[in-house]
Amino acid sequence: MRCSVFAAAIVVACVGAVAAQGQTYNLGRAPTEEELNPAGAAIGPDGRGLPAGSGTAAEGALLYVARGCSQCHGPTGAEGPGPHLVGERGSGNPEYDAFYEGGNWQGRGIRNFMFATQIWSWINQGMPLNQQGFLTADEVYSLTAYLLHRNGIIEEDDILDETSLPQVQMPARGAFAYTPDHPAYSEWKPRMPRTRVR
Amino acid sequence: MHAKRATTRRQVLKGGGAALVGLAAGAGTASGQTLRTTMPDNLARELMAYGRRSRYVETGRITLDNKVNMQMHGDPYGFDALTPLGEQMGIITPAPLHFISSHGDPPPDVDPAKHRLMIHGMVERPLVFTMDELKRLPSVSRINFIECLANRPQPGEERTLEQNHGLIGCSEWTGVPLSLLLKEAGVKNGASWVVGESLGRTQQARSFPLGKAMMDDTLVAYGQNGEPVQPHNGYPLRLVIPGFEGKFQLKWLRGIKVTDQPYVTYWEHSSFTRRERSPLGAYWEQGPKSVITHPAGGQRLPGHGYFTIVGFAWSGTGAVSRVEVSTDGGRTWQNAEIEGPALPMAMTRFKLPWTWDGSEAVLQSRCIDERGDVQPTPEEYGAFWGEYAAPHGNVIQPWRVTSVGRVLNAL
Ligand code: HEC
Repeated sequence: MRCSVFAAAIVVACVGAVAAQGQTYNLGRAPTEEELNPAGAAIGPDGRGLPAGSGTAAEGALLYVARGCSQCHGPTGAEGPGPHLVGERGSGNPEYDAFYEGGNWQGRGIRNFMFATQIWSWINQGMPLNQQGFLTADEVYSLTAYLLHRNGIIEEDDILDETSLPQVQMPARGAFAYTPDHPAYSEWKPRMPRTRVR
Repeated sequence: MHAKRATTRRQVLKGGGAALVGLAAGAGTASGQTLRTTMPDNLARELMAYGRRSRYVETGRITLDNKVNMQMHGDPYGFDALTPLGEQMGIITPAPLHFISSHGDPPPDVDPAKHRLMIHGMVERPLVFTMDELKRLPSVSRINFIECLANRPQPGEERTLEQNHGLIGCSEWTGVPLSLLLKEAGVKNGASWVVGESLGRTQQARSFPLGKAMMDDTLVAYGQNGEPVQPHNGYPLRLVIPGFEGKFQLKWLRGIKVTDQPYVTYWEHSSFTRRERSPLGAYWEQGPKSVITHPAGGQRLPGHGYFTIVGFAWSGTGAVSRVEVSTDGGRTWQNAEIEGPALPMAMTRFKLPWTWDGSEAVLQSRCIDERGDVQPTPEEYGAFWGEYAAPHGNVIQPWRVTSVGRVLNAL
């Protein structure tokens, strides 16, 4: 490197940038590959991090009963006592609705999810409630396909996998006032937006 | 939803501040001088290693009696319980009394020696920290409230102070600034969101803006009021995101993932979303709010005469600058006195002397925060949000004192 005031300035600038990005305390270690992809991690709208696998509604219909979903969500998904997985949001259980829905929980019900990945992620993380963690990726794809099909969102023979799932167009995608790409949502600043009502 | 006292001594609870004032004035016995007595020796010794309250103090969290939780989560009360706000002294909620709302996830049973926090996603160097390593990093202690987004007054004469406001608590949180951990890992260009990941039964996650994570007030907390965070409040680690709705302040934290998009996870979206004015589930900060905690709904005044009106005010965007109180149903307002510290995003005490003449009165308070935002009336709130009965309500809470001293919800 030629020695000039200019070059020196660049070196300083680079060092500065590296220092800002560098570790100060040198504590902690690098995670292993396995640690980086925990099985129950939440999946975002674009589906990055979805495991390889696939499933269909037909397979999901069998799993829905075999894996015990029907015990809480009803034989066809619309009887409760847990939240309805088919048709309107709510459940067969007025107490459940009163406690959890409060009449205002508009994001409940399969048709009210904004992204199909949300449904996949929640089944994968949390279902069947109290016994979660034993479903395989294929089973979660199948159960998601079954619920999406029963709610008229995909065709019976559509195959869901890590590529097709994030592409499913959810009917509620545009129904909410702000979506993740809306600046009011994505560009957070303090006091935005709800604390002012006047 | 029915509220149920966790304790049997309703009287002590109901009396609130008045009971305490009464004790002080009457010195406790008919003779005017309390007789000398001692605690049994073995009990006194037992309390030396880790203290307990006097056996005469039975204040407890108010568990929500919810049959649905029994069916769904196999637990009669679920894991939802209210802070006994009417009993709180000062601005710190004792950790054992801090409200709980867990959507059915019981606290995990984590051995801190085995616990790890992973910082990953859009970072230069994903890092895994042990608890010991986290504690070696420079710590910060801050007093902040955590309030459930569903904490809102609802109509119904019999609704108590706690039923309308008990989903809030305020602690001194100790931990490492999240920004420090993110800088250690090196946030990549283009990143804009952070996802907190928990190790609870349903492995819940929440996403919130990187901008808030990089403000130095957001903590990965291991301490609560001078002790390790309690299991129901997130042991061994929780996120404290001052001013934000409680739902973001994830308990049992095991991962922080940096991303370029909000995740809109299940509990961000499913039940906290409204179509109008709702940026998905996200309202972010809690609005300026206050409530009179004595005299308040569910309490009874023993007779007319002198009382101190006391209450709490708080705001999700800064410190409380002023609290106004009305004792005549909102016709006139007076400035209340702020008692103790008025810290940013912390519960703040206010008080006002009041002599009750025995006739019906409506008491209410309103908070004005350091930005000048004013706690709204239900009408103002409704005009803005479309429908009042929604979550997030920070409306003014009126209490009606009847001529026989019952205090009722006048919303
Ligand atoms: C023990 C009862 C129980 C079982 C078994 C169960 N669920 Fe659930 N499910 C619930 C409850 C309760 C909720 C609401 C979330 C909560 O309260 O934690 C829920 C929520 C859901 C949701 C989100 C619905 C919405 O609109 O919010 C989906 C999807 C779902 N379950 C799918 C399944 C599938 C698929 C299975 C089988 C693998 C299953 N559940 C088994 C109780 C159960």
